[in-house]
Amino acid sequence: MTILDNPYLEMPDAELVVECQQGNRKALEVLVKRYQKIVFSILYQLAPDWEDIADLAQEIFIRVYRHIGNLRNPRTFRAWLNQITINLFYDELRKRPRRVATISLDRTSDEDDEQVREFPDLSPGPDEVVLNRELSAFIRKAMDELPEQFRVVIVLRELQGLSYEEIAESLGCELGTVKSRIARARARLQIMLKNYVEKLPKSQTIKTIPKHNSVVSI
Amino acid sequence: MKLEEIIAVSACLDSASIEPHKVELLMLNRPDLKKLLHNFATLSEVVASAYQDAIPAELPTSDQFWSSLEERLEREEMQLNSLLSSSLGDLPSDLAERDIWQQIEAKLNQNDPKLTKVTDLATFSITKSASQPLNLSAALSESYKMPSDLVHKDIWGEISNKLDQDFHQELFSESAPIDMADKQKFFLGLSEYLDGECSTPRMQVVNEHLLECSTCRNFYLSLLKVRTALKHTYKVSPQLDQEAFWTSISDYLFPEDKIQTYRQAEGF
Repeated sequence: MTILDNPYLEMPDAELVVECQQGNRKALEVLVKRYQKIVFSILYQLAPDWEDIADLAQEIFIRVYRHIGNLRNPRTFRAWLNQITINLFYDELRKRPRRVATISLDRTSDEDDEQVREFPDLSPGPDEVVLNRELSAFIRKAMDELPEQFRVVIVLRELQGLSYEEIAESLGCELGTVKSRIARARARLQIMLKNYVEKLPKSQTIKTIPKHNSVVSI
Repeated sequence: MKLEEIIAVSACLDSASIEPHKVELLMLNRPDLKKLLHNFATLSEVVASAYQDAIPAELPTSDQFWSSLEERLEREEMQLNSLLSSSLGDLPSDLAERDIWQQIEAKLNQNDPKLTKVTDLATFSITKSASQPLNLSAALSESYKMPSDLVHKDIWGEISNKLDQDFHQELFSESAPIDMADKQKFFLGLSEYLDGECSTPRMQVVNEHLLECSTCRNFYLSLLKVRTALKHTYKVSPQLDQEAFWTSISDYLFPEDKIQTYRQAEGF
């Protein structure tokens, strides 16, 4: 479909939201298609072992449709959508029995075939760390063991790339809360993955240390 | 059995609303209604006794509530400690308390019954054991005047937020000097540095320290490694058929459209 067929395709979120609030289904369709992948990936990153993620993603957009009239500031749509996603994740967590992921170190390579298909891009590149399958499995286990509040901020920050402000807006909490949760979550992951992180090649050096004109070579 | 009969049986429980001879008349040759009345009465007793335990004759004031909690805490302290340590293990660092609360919160979210019963005790424990007084007790007792207002989710949300704010001030406040000697705090402060969220002067201080201190440098490197590893691990999400996804939502929200399309296709 081109922009000639659908003039909403290039419309910014805020305008689409206003259209949706007036009952425009085409605008809703564009919003859903624009954000479905993001919603899907957040859910997957929060709960990779849930098998009904597509249904949950669908439920999220149904909630969006039903409540979009309540969104006062259309510019905050992304944060509002994240909020709905995270709330649904918490709702589902309460409903489901807790399953603690376990990793068998005796697994054969045949048994791991499925995971290989799921993560086809783990081959090392010039700027990539070589990650073996075992590390991936342990990272998933560590994430699964993180308290939910920590897991949520790590997913939003590290995997979705949201800023601290966006995360605070999405979670409806203070900026300081977000900062400390991220720090504590990282510290937790660090401890849990200590043995594995040390095995990673040292060639992965820091090229740049964050912004503010501060570059450090190590 | 008709609905009106069920309502009438229900009314029989309240002796003020129906006369005894009418009850007898209603029950005449009706064993099913007698059984229903018996069941209603039993249910009523169960509910009444449950509420009798739950609701004190006279609601305590906020101060009474908190002091009674404190007494219980002292009385059951050993039990609470052993419960916590068996559930959570020993966490040696000064982060232990915060970690414990996170664990408790997570367990409460899972409705772990053995921890649910210590929720109120735990609320006090934190104010007692925190190295810096957080005065959560006062804050909470202001927010929740009566025990009936005490909703676990709210309490834990509040505790968690207060802890986070306190923790953040402790670690990241621009007015607070960076304590390089306290490696644990410094490591946690590196998280903000990693995200480029520190002010420029602070960034410079951390930069200089990283160049000098190999321990912190190694930790910073490992933070980066974990970040990279995370991104690789979750790089690929399962595929989603975008058109089919929208169609399923659309069919659910606007079923009339689907019917219309079907009718048109069938030539109606």
